[in-house]
Amino acid sequence: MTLLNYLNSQYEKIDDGVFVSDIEGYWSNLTKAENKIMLGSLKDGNAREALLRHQPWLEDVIYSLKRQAGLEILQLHGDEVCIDYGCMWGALTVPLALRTKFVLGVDQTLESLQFLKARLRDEGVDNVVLLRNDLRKMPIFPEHDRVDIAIVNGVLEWIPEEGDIELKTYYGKHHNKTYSGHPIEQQESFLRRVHQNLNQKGKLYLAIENRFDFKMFLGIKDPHSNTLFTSVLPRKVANWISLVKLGRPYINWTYSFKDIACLLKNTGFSKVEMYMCFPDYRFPESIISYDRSMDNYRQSISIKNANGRITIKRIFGRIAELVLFRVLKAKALAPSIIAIGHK
Amino acid sequence: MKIELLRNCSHGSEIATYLVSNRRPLKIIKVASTINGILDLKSEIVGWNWYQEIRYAAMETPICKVLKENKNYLKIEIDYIEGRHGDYRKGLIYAENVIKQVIGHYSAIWPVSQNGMAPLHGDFSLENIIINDNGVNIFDWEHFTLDAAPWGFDPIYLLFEGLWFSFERKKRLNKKEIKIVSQCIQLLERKHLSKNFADHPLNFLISFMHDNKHLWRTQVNKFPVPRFTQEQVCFIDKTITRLRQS
Repeated sequence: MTLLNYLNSQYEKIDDGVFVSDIEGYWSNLTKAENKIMLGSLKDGNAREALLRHQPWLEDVIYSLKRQAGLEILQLHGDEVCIDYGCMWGALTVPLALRTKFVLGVDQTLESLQFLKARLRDEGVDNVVLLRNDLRKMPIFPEHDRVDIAIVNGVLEWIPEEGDIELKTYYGKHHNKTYSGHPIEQQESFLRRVHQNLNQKGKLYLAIENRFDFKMFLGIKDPHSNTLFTSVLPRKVANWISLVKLGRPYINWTYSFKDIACLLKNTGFSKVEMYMCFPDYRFPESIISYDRSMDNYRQSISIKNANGRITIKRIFGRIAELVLFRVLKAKALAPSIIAIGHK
Repeated sequence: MKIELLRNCSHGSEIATYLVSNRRPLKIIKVASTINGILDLKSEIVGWNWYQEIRYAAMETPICKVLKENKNYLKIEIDYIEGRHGDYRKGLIYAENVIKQVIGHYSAIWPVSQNGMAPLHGDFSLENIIINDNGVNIFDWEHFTLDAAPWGFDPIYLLFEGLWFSFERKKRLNKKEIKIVSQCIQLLERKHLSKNFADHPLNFLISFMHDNKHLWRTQVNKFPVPRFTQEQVCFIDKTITRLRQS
């Protein structure tokens, strides 16, 4: 495995076998203190038990079988070498490793990688190597080390973010902050590197919320900033709302189907296949090709909430979903996007 | 060629189901990466092989094939069957002809062993049946087990599932629909249905499911028929007996 040799030659390897660059970072749903406690208890048992003991709400986020369903769209053969950019706790890294030859998981948060390392050990997965690095500063691999598959799952919209992020104390909260770069320039620069690190037949799997997800028009808050309508409004207006409400510019840019296709074409991808995900790309119930009919569409919004109660908001959402997708076939308003970019 | 996700671990299943198409549907792909999911897919392979032997004997290539298998992952491919899906939504009366066709198909091909047992499909729902020019085609064999249930279990399940959905929609039991169930049970009695089963069909069926939960592994709770109350079970069984006697 020449990619492994390359990593050995370029990065230091710390005690638990994780390669590290000299760039540290932090982006996690957990605070540093919570991560420390959870990692501390890894010594007493396996990773899943530690998670259930300290952060049981994350079990579904990390281990749900639904999360991996999109990988089959890639039509994998089993001999692929892959990179999972922003792999966090391995929600896709582990399922990808079951389907392919080798996976390099990259994330800026060492704590997430340490948890994932323990998880790999527990589950007997031996074809994954982990690297702590800033995704925006990934090196360009030598030509013979370039990979077959790149996974960018729920990551592109966070690329413009800077500094340590403890999501619990950051999401929807007021933090005065300025940024050094423009969101789309940062995202394009990242995608160009992803493109360069693919071999000639390489494929990108990009999953992201649709900027014009129909729910955004119905008063559901933007999942990245926790503000109303910022995703669908013109960027300048969204910026102004974010500055007033959160003290920082609106930088977690998501895109429409058309914009994602343009973004990938602009960053070097020769062909792009688009898919709609219902109810979202994280826990998809159905994934439908954007250029096919909606015959296989199935309603994804239940009239009952998480507590099993029927709510007016949900009834309204279900009716809106039915009219938009069953009757009007309004594909551009699908909740999430999976794009397969071919090099 | 495109792959689309049709179902993702729904109703307690640990399997993701995909459609492969190239303008026209070509294949169904099923994927599992857990012990129970893999066991279900292995049952599906055995089920398809068994059904192909008795239903599509002339076909030379297997309908169901393994695409990839390792310790924690199994991916299978099944030929797509074109045709009309069965549908309960308009009630048992509307589906009567299809149901009688399905019972004819079952009676014609389903073997019975000396002790009255038969292969179990385990999810013999109208949704898992396609009708086309070649007749009735059954799919979704994830719960298949050889000689695991009394002969007639699957079609009787199909009848009561239809009755359940009508009851759910109308909030009352319809005598015309119970009459259709009774007529179908009489058709099955002419073949190998045991007297015990025919005398108290719903009670017998629910008791069997209760005592043999292992046959459905993690999914036994997805089936609606056991949700009939004891009172409803008695009423339905008594009405069927009365109709059979008259």
